[in-house]
Parts: sequence; structure tokens; C-alpha cells
Amino acid sequence: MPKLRVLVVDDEEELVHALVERLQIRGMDAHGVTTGKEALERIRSEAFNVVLLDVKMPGLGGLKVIEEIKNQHPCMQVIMLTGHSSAQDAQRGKNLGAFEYLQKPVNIEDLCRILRAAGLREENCQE
Amino acid sequence: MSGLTRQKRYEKGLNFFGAITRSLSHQLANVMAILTELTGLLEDLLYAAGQGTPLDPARIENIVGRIGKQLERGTGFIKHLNRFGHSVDHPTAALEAGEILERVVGYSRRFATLKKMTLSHSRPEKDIPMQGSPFDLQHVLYRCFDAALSASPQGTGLAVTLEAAEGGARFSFSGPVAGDSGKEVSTRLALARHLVEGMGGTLDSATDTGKPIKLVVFLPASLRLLSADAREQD
Repeated sequence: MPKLRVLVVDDEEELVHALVERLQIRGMDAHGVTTGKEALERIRSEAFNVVLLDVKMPGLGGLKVIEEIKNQHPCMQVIMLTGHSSAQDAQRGKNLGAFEYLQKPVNIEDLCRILRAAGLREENCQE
Repeated sequence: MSGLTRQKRYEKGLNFFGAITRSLSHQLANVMAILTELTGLLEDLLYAAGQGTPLDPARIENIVGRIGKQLERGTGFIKHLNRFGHSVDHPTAALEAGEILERVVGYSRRFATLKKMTLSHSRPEKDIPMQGSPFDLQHVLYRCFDAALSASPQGTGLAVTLEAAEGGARFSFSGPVAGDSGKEVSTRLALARHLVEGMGGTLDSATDTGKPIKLVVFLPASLRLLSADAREQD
């Protein structure tokens, strides 16, 4: 079974580094970027199963990024990550096709379980 | 003061209080999330060591250093939050204009970052003493930042200069102006001007499209009380 390819997107660079390291330790092919623009550039040139996306970022915000991702790759799964939960953002994200909405900090084992479930959905969608 | 009822002025003060505490607690939540991941990473490496993977001291040292930086950053946010909370302790107090400006720059940095903008400021070496409400002074400076930030396009810089002026302090905000921000800027500018004038100061502005924004705010050394006035008379 190929490694789950995950793109972590958050303007907190240190959070991206730490999460990528921890996901790699758990056998995932994890990569990170710190802006929505960079995320869309990476997604244009590389395939990812799941994108773990911060909602509030400078420049291109998370909700706009989900919209773009879903337009370009309808099967790619997006998990939203936020510092403070907002029912409105969660609903907007879900309406745009987000797989899940999580609040920071997330237990790493819970996160991996959700990432794998999202990966499965992506795989089923591609078939 | 005309154009804004006392109740509205009071609400704007509360709104400012909410904006700052939201922003600082959001940044603190980010620090906590990073600390969670970094300490988790240490646990992962220790677990792997227990399973026979050699522990790399350089990697551990690197992670500990990263934890230290986040602790320092988080402590800074807590200090900001605590000072900000205490700014409503007394309706009036002895203030230093440069120190208050630095606080507001600290609070406003994230709002600038969200617009991919940079904030810079300069203050004179000599203190500029003032007397008034620390909360009101922070509020009025925040509203000036807000108006100036709303006028500036993404990815640019905003500079604030503080200097002593006869009978008070002069704060000059300057930066480029976006071509399409007219109405939003006018609304924010009107609020900033209203509050500045309420404290006994003046605000001069030049925000013509294509020309740099320049807000020049003069505040007297003895500030009128905005928030106390609103509380007492409502």
C-alpha cells in the first residue's frame, strides 16, 4: 500500500515543521507549506491524498483554498485546522467539501486516524 | 462630540477590547499547538529509542531550542494580554507615549501580518509624558492603525513615527494607498478622527488615491477621558 501523501498548510512555520516530522515518523509522506498560494502551486504540480489546512492565514485564506482545491481536484480531501472553532467556518468548509474540521491542538493519533479515513475516501473517489 | 452616540462609543471600546483579546489568545493558541507538537515529537523520539532506534543528541537539542523559542514567544503574548487587561484598572494614569505606542504596535502586528504587511515604528529617546486613560490611548492608536492598514494594499509596509509636539505628542502614520479602498477607509478614518477629537486632539489625513496615506495625529499631554465619560453619562 503506497504511503499517504499529506500536505500540511499553516502560516505557523514551526507548527508545519513539527507536524510534518511527526506524520513522517508515523509512515506518511508528509510535506508542508506556509501559505495558501504555495499550497495551490504544490497541488498543481504534485498529487496529494489529503491536505491539512489552516483556516486563518494571511493572503489567500483557508476557505478560498478549499474552493480552489475542490475545483481542480474534486477527489482530494481537505481537513480544516483552526486555532479557535467557529461553527460558521466549519459549516462553510463542509459546504465547500471539507472532510473534517479540527481544533488545534489535535492529538496526533486522532489526527492520523482522521487522515487515514480521509485518504480512504480519496481512494474510493478515484476508483 | 458629534456623529457617534455615547453608547456607540462605549460599544466601539468593547469591540476594540474583544479584537485585541481575540487576536492575542489566537496567537497563544498557536503557540500551545506548536508546543504540543514539539513535546509530542520528543515523546516520539524517546519511544523510538526505547524500540532500539539510536537517539540523536543534536536532534534533541534542536527540538529543545525550538521549544524554548515558543515559550519565549508565548510569554510575550501573556505579558501583552495581562498589561492590556490591566489598562482598565484606573480611569486615568501617568502614561508614556512611546511605551503605549509600542504596546499597540505589538497588538496590531498580527492584523498587519494577516494583510501580509509589515509595521515599523520609531520613538524619540526622551520620554513623552501624558496623563489620561491607558485604555483610551491604546484604543485611539489602534483605530488609527486600523484606518491606515485598511487604506494600504497587501504586501506593503506601514510606518509610525512618534515625536514630541508643543503641549503633547504627534503620531504620524504613513504608507502606500490601495486604489479601491475608498469607502472602507473613510468609515474607519471617521471613527479614528471622532475618538482623537474626543480626547482633545486633532487628526489630519491625506488619502488621495495614488498618493501615500499620511495620518498625523496630535494628542494633548492631558487627555480627555473617552471611556469614563461614556460610562458615567450613559
